[in-house]
Parts: sequence; structure tokens; C-alpha cells
Amino acid sequence: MSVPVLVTVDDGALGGLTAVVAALESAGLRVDRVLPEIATITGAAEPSAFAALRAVSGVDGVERAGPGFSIPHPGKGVQ
Amino acid sequence: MTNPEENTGAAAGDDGTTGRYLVLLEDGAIEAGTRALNQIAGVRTASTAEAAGAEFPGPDGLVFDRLGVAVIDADPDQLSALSDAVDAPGPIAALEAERRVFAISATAEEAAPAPQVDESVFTWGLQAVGANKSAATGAGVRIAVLDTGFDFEHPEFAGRAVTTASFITGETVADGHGHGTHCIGTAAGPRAPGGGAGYGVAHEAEIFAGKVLSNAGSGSDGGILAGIAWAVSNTCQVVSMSLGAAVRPGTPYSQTYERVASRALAQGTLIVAAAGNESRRQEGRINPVGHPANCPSVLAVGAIDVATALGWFSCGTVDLIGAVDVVAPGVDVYSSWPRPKNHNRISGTSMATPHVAGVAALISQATGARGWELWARLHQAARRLPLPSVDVGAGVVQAP
Repeated sequence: MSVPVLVTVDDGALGGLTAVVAALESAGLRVDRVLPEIATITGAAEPSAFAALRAVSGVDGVERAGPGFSIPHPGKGVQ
Repeated sequence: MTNPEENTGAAAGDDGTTGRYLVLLEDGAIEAGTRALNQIAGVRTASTAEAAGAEFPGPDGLVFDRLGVAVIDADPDQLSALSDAVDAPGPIAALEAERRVFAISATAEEAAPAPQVDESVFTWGLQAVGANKSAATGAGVRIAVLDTGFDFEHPEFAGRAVTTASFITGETVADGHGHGTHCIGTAAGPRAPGGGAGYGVAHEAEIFAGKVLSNAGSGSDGGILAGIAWAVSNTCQVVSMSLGAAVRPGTPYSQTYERVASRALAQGTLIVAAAGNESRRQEGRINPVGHPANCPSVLAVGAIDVATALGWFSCGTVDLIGAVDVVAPGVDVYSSWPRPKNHNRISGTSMATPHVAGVAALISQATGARGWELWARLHQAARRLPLPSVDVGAGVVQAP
């Protein structure tokens, strides 16, 4: 089952970001957002694909996204 | 919200008393004192020595033999008789109203009555960071608040420069929760709202309201990173993130967020984030700074109260990962709220964070600083506190 993934890209590879995105897709990443301002790509992938994603040229780091954030109901709890 | 009073489970009278009375008996006069309570005032008492496990207050009161103290219910006539007995020679030494006490205070300061701060013109938070005395207004500075959105038609924001974006699928930027509107109010709301306290630190800053938490209050890393990218591309000097996820001690910080925050700083965007509310300091429990505030390049913000004591919920530095960098007002913070309520007073490190974002905007306007230089100036100008650095970092941020 695929999990949400955060991929950071080397500063040096930012000029060729489109090629990096294409290579990540080939390696199993379903791309959600490409964020060139922060050299980050978010998406989802099978955990078994992480090694292949890390091996893509220009990739700096691959990390499973966290379980998410939540704040309490407005009437309840410290915010 | 939960506030400290609610935490005690108290339903006290305004004067903090319980309606019961403490009677101090003279040394070695427990039996005589117990008799006197009955004879003088008709108060029947049980002794803790003989009434172990008895429901309190079973009779009119209970005598704590080893302490030489009785706790009693008394009507005005009985009180009057006991007062006379205090003045006369005999076993009854003193009489006083029983006070409501708190389970255990996190600090000595919390036990003291909160100082009365005049909020008729400015909130206590604005006064604590010196915003009300600063000539800076935040004009020309862009603050992005990534939260539950914004009630951009709130009457106290009429005429303000506001840019919005929603990163929540299927939801507009309209704030269906309230949290985002409150945080934006603190960071960049009005100083003179035309009735009630001024509550905005950088009251002329340009507002970028990014919705990364849903109306139900939840969000994901993907949406938050998209919000950060949006703020960076809009050259916002400051990103305020009153959000986080609790982590266990020793959990590594996110490499992705660390790189993102570092890159944002390099491009002149400072990210400030709430340290988290998972501590229970009244029970001696201090939990670590949450994600993503635990990243070294994200400025982590803890909360103080009006007495400059730490918020009982404020997360601390518990290991080598995740330092609290600064603190700001985060208890009983008054700010804007979606119509028709218009205002609300709530607590949390979420409320401390936009105070820091607002002060950062003021400093940026006054000095031109942004990125790492802005981070340094926030630390440099912070007012040091006589509290552990693991809890308060450099202290309370201060407006220029």
C-alpha cells in the first residue's frame, strides 16, 4: 500500500527539476505537488520503492510523511 | 480551550474560598477544642483518628488530630460564636475561610494571584512584547499564517491587504474553525479595533492567509509544505505555523522540513512554529517540542502567562533534538474570531507563535533584516527570564 512521501532535491539539480520529477515517477512516485521554491516534491509511493527513489540522480532525501496534524475543536483543549 | 482554572476542576467563588472554615486549635488541646466547637457553636465534628474513611464532611466538620486543625461548615451565627471564642482564652486559636487550592502548581509564580493587567487599550500580550510602545507597524512586511484559514470579511480587517490560498481540497480559505482567524489577529490584527483591546502585533503588515488545516482542524505534511512554498514564492518575511504533531523523546526531526526551513531562510523567509502543548507541568511532566518545530532551522515558540510563568502545557527541550528558541504570550490571549462572535480568548503555544511572527515583522520593518539575520535579531532582543533555557530559550521576544 502506498504511503505519503516527501522528496527533497539537491540545490544543484533544481535547474533540471522536470527531469528529476520524471525519473521519480518512473521509480514509483505518484507525484502530488512539485514545489520548486523549497526544492521539494510531495506524493505517494510503495515503501518498497523508497530505495529506487533515493537512487534517482538529484534526489537529496526521501522521507515518509507524518501521520498528519490536528488541532482541537475550537471549544475544547489548549490550542 | 482549557484554561488553568478549568484544569483544577474548581468551581470556586470569586474570592477563591470554598465556603468552609479552618479552625486552628491550640497545641495539645485537640479534645478540648473539639468539645468547644460543639459547646460554643453547636458544630458536630468527627475526628480523623476515629472516622477513617468517613465521607467528608459527614457531620458539620472534621478534626485533623495530628494537625490540630478542624475543617467545618458553619452558619453565620456559629461563625460569630467561634470568632468570639478566638478572642477569648481557650482551645480555639484562630478561624479563617478555607481557600480553594490547586493540585500542584508548575511554578511558584503560578500559585501567586495573577497580576492585574489593564487590557482596556492593548492585550496583555501586546504589552508583554512591547508592541504597544514600538514605532514599527509591520508596514511593507508580509506575514504568512498557515492555519485553518481566515474570516477575511471580519469587520476589524476592512481595508487590509489580504492574500489567501487554500491547500485543503474541497475547502475555501474561509475559516470554519476559528483558530486561523485568532492567530492572524494576534500577528497582524488591529491595534485600535474601535472597541475592546487592540490585539494585533504588526497591525500594518500584509496578511497572507494560507489554509493548510481543514475546518475540522486537521492537515497533512503535503499541504503544509505547499503552504510554505507559497509563502516563499510570495517573498513573505515570516511564516507563522501554529500547528504541530506530538513526538516521543528521542524521535529524530524531519530531514525534509529541516531542509525546507533552511532553504526558506536562505531565501529570506523565517518559519516560526508552536513548540506544542503536550506538557503537564503541574504534574511534573514535560514533553518534547513537536514536529516540525523540533527542526533546528524552525524557530520553536513556547508559551508564558501574564505573570511571566511558563504555560503549564508548554513543551520543553527534553533531549538533544528540538530546542525551545523563544517564548511569547500564550495563556488567555484575546484576539479576533470568525463572525458573528468576532473575538475569543484562548490559550496554547498556538497563540504564542503569532506574537513572535508579529514581532519578527516589526523587527524586519525597522531593520530590513530577514532570514537568518531576522532569527538572530529576535534572539538578540529577547528579554531574558529567570527560568530554565530548556523551557524558554532566549526569553520573551521584544518589539523594536
